[in-house]
Amino acid sequence: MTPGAPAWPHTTLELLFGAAGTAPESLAAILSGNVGGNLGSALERLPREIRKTSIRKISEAAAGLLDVNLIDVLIAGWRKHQDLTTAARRTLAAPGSTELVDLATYQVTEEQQPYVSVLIDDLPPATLQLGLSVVLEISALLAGISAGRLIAVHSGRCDITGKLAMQGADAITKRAHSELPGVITLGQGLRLLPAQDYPSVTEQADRANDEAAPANSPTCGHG
Amino acid sequence: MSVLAGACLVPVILTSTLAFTLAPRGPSSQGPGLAASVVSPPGPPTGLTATAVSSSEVDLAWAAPASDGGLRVTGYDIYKGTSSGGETMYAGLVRGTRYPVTGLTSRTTYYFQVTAVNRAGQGNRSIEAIATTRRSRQTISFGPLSARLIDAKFTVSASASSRLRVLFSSDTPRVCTVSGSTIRTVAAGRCTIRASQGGNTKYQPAADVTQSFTVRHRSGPHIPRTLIIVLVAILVVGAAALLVRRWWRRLHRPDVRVEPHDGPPGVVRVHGSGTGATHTVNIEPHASAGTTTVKELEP
Repeated sequence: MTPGAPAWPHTTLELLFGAAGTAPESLAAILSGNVGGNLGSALERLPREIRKTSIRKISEAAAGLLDVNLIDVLIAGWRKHQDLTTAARRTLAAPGSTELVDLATYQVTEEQQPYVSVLIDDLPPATLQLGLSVVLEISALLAGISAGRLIAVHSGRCDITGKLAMQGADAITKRAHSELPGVITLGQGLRLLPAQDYPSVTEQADRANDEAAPANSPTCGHG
Repeated sequence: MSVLAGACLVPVILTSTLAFTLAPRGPSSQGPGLAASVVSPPGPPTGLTATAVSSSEVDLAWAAPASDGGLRVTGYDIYKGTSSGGETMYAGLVRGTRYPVTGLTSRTTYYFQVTAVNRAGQGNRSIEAIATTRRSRQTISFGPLSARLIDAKFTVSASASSRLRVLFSSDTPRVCTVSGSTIRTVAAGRCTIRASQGGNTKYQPAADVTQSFTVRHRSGPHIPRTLIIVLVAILVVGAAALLVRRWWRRLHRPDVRVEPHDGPPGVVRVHGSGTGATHTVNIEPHASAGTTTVKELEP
């Protein structure tokens, strides 16, 4: 709906509403205009102040649901990428080996349908149905894989498109673009295979790495 | 007219006064004897004119009568009246042939006659001369005026010696205007106010008197007073309306509270009252597991 280019968003919330943290206010503005569905008619019955407060709290709840980390989406995509998982299995089988995988352009799509249920007095429950869609289109990416882990990313480009639908109607569409300069190492590397595929002695370290890596990974969206 | 025949006195019957004179006869004459002549009062003065020179004075002028009656004219009597034929004695034995008649009433028509007098008596009256006195003069007292700012409004005053009402006008209407005795400055420059009195039946018009003063710009930007009043009124009304609205809303503000719900995390409850009813709104977010798909775009 509104093409834009926020600089290097970390989350879908930043992509859709910017980095200023105004997502709840923006959502409240949309909801105040036209909520739609059974929620709209239910809120209409409330006194003004209570309706205003309710919309604000509904917006805060919705904003919390839309705060999806884009790195997590990207990692989830890599773990499903056949070329990467195949290379990961090969390097796991041949300890000490490293493979550079030249990935063709591919898309990682994340779809979510969170919702906020609202119960007003004795009325039937009303719902604010959200639809979140994030598409990461990655090209010219060279992945370094060793011991079943993604250990480095070599250059690459990433286009991000985020869409938000409310009550079934498109509400916001935003786009961003990112260039990955040079080589970015990923520390101990990101696990690309199920945990049980790795030697047990390293499981503890794997978990720690998995938790730490996204935050330190300037991949798509982090030029 | 006179008859003298030797020393013999011959009576002559005349209508005029008979006068006798005794004079020695010269050598050429036939010796001393009496000389007799007939005299009479002088004739009427001629060419009487009356000229009004002011509101209270008329100057009379005339010429000596054509006949002095045989005796020197000793003076003239002046008659004055306010109707034709109604003249009465005003001054007697006036010497000379001019006389200023003073103490007259302004804007009044006077009738005059003059008679010549000699020792034989008073002659007939001259023809009437008529003059109407002038209206009285009057002057205006109009004091100086001080400098003013643009858009000033003030009154001026001036008085006439006749006590008649003085009228004001502006010689510079682009700088200042006049309404009655109220002056209004409209632009910077030199304002000239003229005081006039047109006179009436008794008073002549007075000479106009003007006074000038400077009209200066205000130091700040010029804002019409009306606009200022309107703006202030809007502000006052707006502020009052705002206060009333806030007071009304405070009076009727519903008691809205947001409370954590004792249910699942993230659930809140909005509880409010204020319009005669109590409302409870439970808000519960539900996350979605989401689906991730990967699709190659190029072989």
